[in-house]
Amino acid sequence: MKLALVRWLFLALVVGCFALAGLTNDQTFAAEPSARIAPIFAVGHQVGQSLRSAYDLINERRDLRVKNRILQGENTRLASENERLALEVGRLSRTLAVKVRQSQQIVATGIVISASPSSLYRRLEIGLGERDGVEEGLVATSYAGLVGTVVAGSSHTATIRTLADPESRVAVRILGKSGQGIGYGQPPDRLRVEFPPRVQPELGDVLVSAGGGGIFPEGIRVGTIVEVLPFQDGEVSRVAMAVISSPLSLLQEVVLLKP
Amino acid sequence: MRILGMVLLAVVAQAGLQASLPEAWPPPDLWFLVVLFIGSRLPAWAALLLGFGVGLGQDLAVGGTWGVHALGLTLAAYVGSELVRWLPWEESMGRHAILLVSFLAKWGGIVLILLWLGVEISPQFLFFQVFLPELLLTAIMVPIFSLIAGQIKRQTNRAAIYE
Repeated sequence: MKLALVRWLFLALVVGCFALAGLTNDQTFAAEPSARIAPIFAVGHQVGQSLRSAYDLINERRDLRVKNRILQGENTRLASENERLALEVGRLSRTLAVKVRQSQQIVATGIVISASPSSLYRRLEIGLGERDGVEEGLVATSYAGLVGTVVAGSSHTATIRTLADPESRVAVRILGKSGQGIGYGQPPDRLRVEFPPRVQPELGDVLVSAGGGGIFPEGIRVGTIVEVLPFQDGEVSRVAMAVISSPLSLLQEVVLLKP
Repeated sequence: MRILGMVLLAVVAQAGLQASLPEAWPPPDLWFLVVLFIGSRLPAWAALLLGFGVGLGQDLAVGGTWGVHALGLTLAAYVGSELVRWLPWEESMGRHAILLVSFLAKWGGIVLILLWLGVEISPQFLFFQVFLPELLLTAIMVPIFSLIAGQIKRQTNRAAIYE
């Protein structure tokens, strides 16, 4: 008798889960509680992020010490280093031009206070909310590229759905090539990009947002292709996997732009 | 109150682990371990409600579709409470077997509801990049949870003797 009751309760809960999922799928109100309870996770997130940053810093310093020793003994490499720097200046000039263009659309810069506690959904909470002018649909970027879009918020905090979130979609194009594709979020840090068959993605290709009427402005760096899946005759799209440029778990602040 | 405290502690620890691990690593599922470890000491109906409640809490915290994690953890709690009747939770082998099968049930539930919602996600990617690393990292956390659960049990027994 007791066992039967437990099984009925189990069935009722399963049906309840499906009903909840059906009611809240793609609904913006589903993200609102997340913004309100973000402070609970903020402590753990800050501690973890500090530990990770400290570890990275130690590693980086060790690498720098080794590199410095090598450079002291290799004066001849300075010539090639100069060439590299010249190229770097060119790249930075182009980046600066993009930044200047984007800066006209900047709404605010927000501190990341927490990340979603799930291995499936990839969302960030920032310490800016409606009272700071943050509203649904704003685009979040970082120094490294596109981060995602604001999906909900409270008066003091807002939730950003990152590009790696399985509910995320972004129109992309390959830098220097024609044609565009659609990137689907693949947690924890990737995009599955579908291109039309005539587009030929290659390893190392850089992806930027395609704009074209979507919410993301054009030309912001999205990621780098790390795998191209085999293409069979008759398939309607070429599929490639890309690593997202922005280091989502290391981000300390994001810049919010008008779409 | 103690259950709520353990859930909150696990939630904060989960956020910390997630931020401290490298980008491509999913965090261990401490929500799952809390449900199984606490649920093993509760009647089956209470374990089910705990699984559903904690899962729903995770859904609210994540900000995604509600019911995804709730279904996963409800299934895990149900499978766990069924297996506890056949396998000895107090023994390491039995506990690991219960946790493994419950973990599979959790992901079975999540995949089922994702398919039902029509979320496009590569099965291979989900298996190798999310499921497998999460399973390994969660398995690493099991001895720590066993240790904490053992301490709490000893303290509870001692308090009962003094009373």
